[in-house]
Amino acid sequence: MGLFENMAGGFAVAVTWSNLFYCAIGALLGTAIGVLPGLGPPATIALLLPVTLKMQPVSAVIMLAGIFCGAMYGGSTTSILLNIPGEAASVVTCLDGYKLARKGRAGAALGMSAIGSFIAGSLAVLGISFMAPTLASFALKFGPPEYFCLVFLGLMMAIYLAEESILKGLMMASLGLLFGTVGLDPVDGTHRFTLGFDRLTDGVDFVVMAMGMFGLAEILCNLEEVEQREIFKTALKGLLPTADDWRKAWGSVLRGSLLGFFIGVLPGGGAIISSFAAYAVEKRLAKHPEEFGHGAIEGVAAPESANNAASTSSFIPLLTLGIPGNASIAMIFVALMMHGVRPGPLLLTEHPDIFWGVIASMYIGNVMLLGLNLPLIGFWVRVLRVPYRYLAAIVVAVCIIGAYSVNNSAWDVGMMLFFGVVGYVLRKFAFPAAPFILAMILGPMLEKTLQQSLIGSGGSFLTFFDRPISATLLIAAGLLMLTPVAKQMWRRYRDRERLSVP
Amino acid sequence: MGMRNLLTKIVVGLCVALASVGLGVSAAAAAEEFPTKPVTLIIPVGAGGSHDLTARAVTSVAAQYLGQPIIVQLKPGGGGAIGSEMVAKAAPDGYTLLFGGMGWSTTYPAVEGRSKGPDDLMAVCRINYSPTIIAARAGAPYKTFKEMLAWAKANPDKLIFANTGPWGQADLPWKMIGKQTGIKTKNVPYDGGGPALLAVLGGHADVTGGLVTALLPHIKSGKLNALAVLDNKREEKLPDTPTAKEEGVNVINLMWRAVLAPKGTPRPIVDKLAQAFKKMTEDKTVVTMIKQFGDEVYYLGPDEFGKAWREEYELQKELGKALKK
Repeated sequence: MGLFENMAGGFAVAVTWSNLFYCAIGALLGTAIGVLPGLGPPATIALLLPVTLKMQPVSAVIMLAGIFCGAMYGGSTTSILLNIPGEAASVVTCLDGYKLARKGRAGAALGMSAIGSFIAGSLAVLGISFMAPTLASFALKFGPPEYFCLVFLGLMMAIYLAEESILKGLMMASLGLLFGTVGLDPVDGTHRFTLGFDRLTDGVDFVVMAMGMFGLAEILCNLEEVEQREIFKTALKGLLPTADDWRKAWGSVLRGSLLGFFIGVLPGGGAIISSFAAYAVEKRLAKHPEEFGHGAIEGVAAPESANNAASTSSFIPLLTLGIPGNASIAMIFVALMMHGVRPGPLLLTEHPDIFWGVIASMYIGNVMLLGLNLPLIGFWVRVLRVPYRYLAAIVVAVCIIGAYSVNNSAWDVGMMLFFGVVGYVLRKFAFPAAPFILAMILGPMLEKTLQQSLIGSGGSFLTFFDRPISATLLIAAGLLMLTPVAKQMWRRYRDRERLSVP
Repeated sequence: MGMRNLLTKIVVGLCVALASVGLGVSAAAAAEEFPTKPVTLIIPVGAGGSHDLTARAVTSVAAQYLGQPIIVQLKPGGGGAIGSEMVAKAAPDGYTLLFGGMGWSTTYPAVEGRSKGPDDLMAVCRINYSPTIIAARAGAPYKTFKEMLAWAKANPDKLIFANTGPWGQADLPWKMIGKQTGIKTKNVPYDGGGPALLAVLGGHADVTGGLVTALLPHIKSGKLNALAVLDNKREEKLPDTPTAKEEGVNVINLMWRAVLAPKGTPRPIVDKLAQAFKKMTEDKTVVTMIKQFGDEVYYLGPDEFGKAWREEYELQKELGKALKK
């Protein structure tokens, strides 16, 4: 009852010409920066903050939220077309999306990503409107031990990111954990592996590294086989996913949305973890897991749904607790504050128009993003028809500008080139890059939460088993770790039985 | 064809106009003194933080009071060290300035020997500051700062303090409080003010230190108790919360925002800049913008601020030595 009134009120706020206009601008800008690697949504929103000062607070948030969600849509585009993750949360999309594009099915991958994102975004908006306060208290239950167990569970998924050899996947994950320790010690701030460079005190920048290891490495590899590369073409007709694709992927979209929605509520890297998790879950459930990594449509549907659901639900801690869960949301928080609106426990009572207006505009934003992205697919696919020798040069240029724009420094350009070469060498020896990246993102979180838990418990590891949520997550991680072993043992046992019978 | 002609004419016209303006300026430059060209203010941390916002608000009216615009440039990295070192190396002519903060301009150089402090940079003026506020979760068995100290003394290593990162706004003053009062607590690092606050709200930690803008809504809604303000005076928005000094603990922690210049910048230029910044901070639009961020203007001139900064630096240097052993 109250909910529908509230939603109606929200739509009344959102559906004014000016707010629809700002929503469209936000969606457009977001898509653009999502497509261009480097300059991410937080930086873009920060740049636009002065502009929003002259706007109504609701309009400001609507536009900024449009940028944030639009970037999630746009980030998948370069992942699929060029193997360059535009945003951290679309790294996993590269794995199968790019393979689909190479098979000439870029349209299907892009379409699945746009429609999956739309479904996930819409479900997440519904989720927010029904249970934002409940979910906020769920987020509060997550203390350091729970986070540690969640991250630990996430790390187990590195196994599923390995394309061919699990051993190589684990080796890359270990290397990623080591790279993740570069920077400042989380407890006492001591420098670790910074080699005397101040630039390294913040650690290795993720975007820069991913652009190098995925994008540049891909180009370097392709330079060896230009002729072949030009042959693969994408049929313009049949741009959208087929009925067969949908039959395979609808479950992935729903599961991805659910996973993304719940993990996204947790502050700190929700969208990234959920995209990896959704991919791993699909690979685990798939009838043909061997297709993953070679262009499985579910491998695009799941992570893309997850990261969009997560980006929507990451608004919950902001709107209900006043605590921004990631850098982009922090900028939206600042924008609200500049208008004298303090998001927090009192927002719903003090400014219901803003709360519900934002939620309604997210829904409208999703519709707009779908309307914007579907027609763009034809355009993107045509981009692939540009002869590769030109396309490669453009991509390198865009990557260099993107890397520079992260911190306005040439250092990052150098880092990207370095990781490009590293990625090329690794690929030559068939070492997968995704487990490395996952481990590098999760490593610092794992370490920090472990330290926090142990300082809090006075050094006792029992704290992880005492608490129901963390214990459950640990058991899940244990099962995940043991299933391949158990499977193999079972197979061996069965074979032996068979052999011993005759 | 006609269109192209028109465009060419416009472009040529613009070029001529720009060139003549440029000539005019350079001719006037010889006669005028500082500043004859835009001044660059480097912010060594990321966009959207309180330093970025404050700098942008203040410099938005620079042209009016300085005669030249101030260009804000972000050079984030190394927690502020990268930008600080750039400015320390820049020519001391007043055209390259740094937006300083306690972390990268006092604590890192004093405690860790990185970034640049008062030995390499000089004070132009302070714009404002936000004091650290010590707050506890509502369910904690203490309601005041004194009660908390007594409880922590009686229960060593029981109180969990959530800091916002090593040597940050919460960690540093908490270490000072510990050193002065002898209380033993668990000091848990979190990734910034938001996560630390979330830990206290969720009951995973008992006490944290934050800025009033972040804590106020939770204090108002009864989820947090403000225990003490780490300032010389009480916070306007929390009139009932005493300062730590009033409670017998002499710890002050002001997260300041100030304009700094490379060492060796001539005094007349520093004075001119300080005067202009003073007027900017008195500008009505600037004052309202800063109020909207939840802050106030607390201007301090070059000598007063330079002295305070030096004292803070020496104090933290000593503290760093004592704590690192």
